[in-house]
Amino acid sequence: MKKKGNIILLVVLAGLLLLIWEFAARGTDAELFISFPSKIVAFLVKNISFLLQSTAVTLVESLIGLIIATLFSFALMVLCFYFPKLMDIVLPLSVTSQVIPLITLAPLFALIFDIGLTAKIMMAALLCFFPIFINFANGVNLIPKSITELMQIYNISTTQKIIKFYFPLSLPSIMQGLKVSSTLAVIGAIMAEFCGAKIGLGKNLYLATKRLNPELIMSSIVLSAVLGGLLYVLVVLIENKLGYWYKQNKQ
Amino acid sequence: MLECCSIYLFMNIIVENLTFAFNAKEYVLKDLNLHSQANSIAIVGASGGGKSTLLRIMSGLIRQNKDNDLHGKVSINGLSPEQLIDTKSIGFIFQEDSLIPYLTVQQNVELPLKLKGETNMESAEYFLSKVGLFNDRSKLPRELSGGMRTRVELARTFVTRPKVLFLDEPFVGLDEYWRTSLYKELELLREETSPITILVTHHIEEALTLANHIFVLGKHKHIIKDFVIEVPLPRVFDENPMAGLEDLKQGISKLIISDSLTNEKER
Repeated sequence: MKKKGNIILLVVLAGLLLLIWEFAARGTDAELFISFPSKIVAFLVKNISFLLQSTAVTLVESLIGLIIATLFSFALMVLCFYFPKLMDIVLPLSVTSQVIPLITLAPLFALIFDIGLTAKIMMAALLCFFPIFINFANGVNLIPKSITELMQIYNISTTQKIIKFYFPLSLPSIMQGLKVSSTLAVIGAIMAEFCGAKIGLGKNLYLATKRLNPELIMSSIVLSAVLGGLLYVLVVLIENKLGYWYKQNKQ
Repeated sequence: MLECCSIYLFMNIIVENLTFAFNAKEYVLKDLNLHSQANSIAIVGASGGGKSTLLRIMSGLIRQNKDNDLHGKVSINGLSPEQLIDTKSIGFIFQEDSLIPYLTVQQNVELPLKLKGETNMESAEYFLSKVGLFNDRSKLPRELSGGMRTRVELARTFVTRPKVLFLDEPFVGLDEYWRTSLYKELELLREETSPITILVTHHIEEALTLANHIFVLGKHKHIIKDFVIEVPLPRVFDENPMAGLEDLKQGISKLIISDSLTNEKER
């Protein structure tokens, strides 16, 4: 009941803000920059097929980027399981690599991979990698000592440890990383599109600022928010499926 | 300190001149000797006295490496800890929960069999029924109470019919009712598989109920006294399992307290 009340309150509040926006911006200079809701909606409806097409392209880029980053961090973790010494190199390296604002690499990728999908996928994957990897590593550290010792007692191979224990036991942490990365993937893809693309939400945003088209900016922002939400929900759905054993609501 | 000096061949459990330090300075165990012919021993002592560490060395969980200082001899049933682990014939029940949270009760009990490559899961079902959890077999560990989880641990440990059983404060945090009920289940399981048991506990009554040779680990990092109990096991089914052992219980308790007090004075 309380949750339902909260949602109603939220909708009312959002509606109120939109109304203020609508009447405050209409007919003033602000209209040139931020437009107003009814005009944006009209624009969105009119150009829906083009806008959805751009969204689809960005979606594909960020999704593939996210998947590649996931697979890469899993592969790296597996390597570290087999060669524990490797972790001592990989971990500090990946942590210090985070001081580089990774999005500055977007122009470089655009230069190397040209305006195709590759640069965007690479950018998305690059941003996604760290949260997934670091959360996975953290999750492995969080495995209770008693279970680690149990593996020793069972005297099982590393492969068995990885499949039966490390992966499933760190699932909560892996999912935490994936949730962060799901929104980073969209940021990465859009950032790369800024630096040159045929089509995509980032390309729209770039063009719209050059052509002073606030409706295009606003609708692209809305669609990227939807896109980020979509990827996040996808991760949550996967988690609900796999994480039945720690998700409290199931009980 | 040792009162019995029979020939080693008849010894089930031998620990000789065991010294251990996590880093070369702070010694956790020093020149520890422990010999027993019994097939169920208990090591008691004050908390933080290195009991768990001793158990981990005896079971091969702690081994010599470049960071620690471990030397001395450990032999159980003629095998070193490393050999014991290699034969995959030991069971270990930890103080902390070690059930696998994403596996059901039944899958948890089947796990050690599957990891050994066995395909016949009948004994899993057998041991589940034996601890009275057959009807709860499809529940997840988090849906069970602490006592029930310990039952699952018992079933999971005994399903491989271990030759040596290590118990590290297995019933800590449980109330008297659950303790007594779990002692009984443990005894039934032991009767069937007859493993050599090494129990570590700070609960003297528990030691007196489950073991027939009790070692007191003192603050000086070695065994200060040991007591052989002649009353045969299992005793938990007797009307009063502590009958005739009350004095011993008081004695051990006083011994532990006075030992820790002498140490305080020395400091």
